[in-house]
Amino acid sequence: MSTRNRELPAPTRDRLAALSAPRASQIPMAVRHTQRVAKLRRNIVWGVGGIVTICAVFLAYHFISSLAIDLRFAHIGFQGARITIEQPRLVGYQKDGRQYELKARMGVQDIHKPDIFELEGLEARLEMGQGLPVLLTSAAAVYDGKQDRAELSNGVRIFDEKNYDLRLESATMDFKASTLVSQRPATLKLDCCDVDGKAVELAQAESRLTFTGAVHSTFHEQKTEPGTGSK
Amino acid sequence: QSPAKSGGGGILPGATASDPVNIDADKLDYFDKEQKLIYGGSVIVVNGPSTLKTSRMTIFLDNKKGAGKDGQGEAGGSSSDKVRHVEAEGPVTLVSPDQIATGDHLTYDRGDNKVHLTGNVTWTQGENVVKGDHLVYDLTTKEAHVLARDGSGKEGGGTPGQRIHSMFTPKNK
Repeated sequence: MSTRNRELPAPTRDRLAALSAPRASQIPMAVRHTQRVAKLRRNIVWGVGGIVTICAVFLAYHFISSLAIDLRFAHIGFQGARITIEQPRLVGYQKDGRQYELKARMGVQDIHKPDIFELEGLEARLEMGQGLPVLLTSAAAVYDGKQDRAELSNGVRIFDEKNYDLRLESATMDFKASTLVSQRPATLKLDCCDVDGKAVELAQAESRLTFTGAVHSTFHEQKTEPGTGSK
Repeated sequence: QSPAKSGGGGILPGATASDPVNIDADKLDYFDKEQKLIYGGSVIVVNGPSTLKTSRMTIFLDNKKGAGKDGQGEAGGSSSDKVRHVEAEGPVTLVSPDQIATGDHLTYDRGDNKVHLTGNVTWTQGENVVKGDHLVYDLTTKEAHVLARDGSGKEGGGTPGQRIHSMFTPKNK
């Protein structure tokens, strides 16, 4: 007991002793408590950090999977915020749930605008009525994955292997509605004739092509087949 | 009815097989599935020496879509011989070098190779005028027939009560 306590009267000393004795034995408990608190604090920090990370990963995954596009590519390069993708292949869905696929020679995506792809050498396989496949090609295109639309430019062509060949300067393709619209001159070459117009609209579902504005058609020579009364 | 001068093979009187058919219009709907073209808005068709003016015209193409680029149709004809049937809705004006025919409705069919003009038909050649209900123009024989009524469509026939009106003006000697 310290010197100061010995000078105190006996009853006071006893009360002090009664007070300080348990306090002395509680120090280890206090130390353990402090350690537990410190440990708890560390766990809380790690726990919160872990939860935040899991949420971030979940959100990122959810964001990517909610994009109605499926992106595959051959090679990828980064330039600041712009990602250059070689031979990207994008898959989206039309209104009726059918899938459409875009291929390109090169694609550039800005991470600030992840839905927008600047494509070079675009190719898309479309289906006209009755499932007749036609190929859409465009030298340049800006594709919006969220809108399922593409602004096509620098020479657009829609053709099949046999006798359907539509050429335009530029156009807007709405993949979801399966329509293509252009206010620029367009030329259609068919087996029987050539058609020119100042503007054109293509409706895939009805396999209908509407030309407007100074429409001119030339039907090549017309020969009557033998056996139809021709002399 | 004096035979009109025409070669065979075109879709309008006087046109030959090698004459292209040029069509100008305000609008065109092309249906790839049905192989049909619908022209609308001051449609002008030029084939050889003849010109057809109408407000709406539908061309039905042959359904031989599989003819492919080499151009061999069924009977060895050129693949471009695709116009199977034409329908024009009036008022229709058909102008050949020396004749003008007007009516409400015109059809051409490659099967019988004839042009049919029906409804308020007026056919003039110089100062001669013939009025009737149905003008049949045979692109093969180059003959034209005007019928009083298109009901049965029988050539040379006609329903009593309807008559053909003709006016021939003699030339001054």
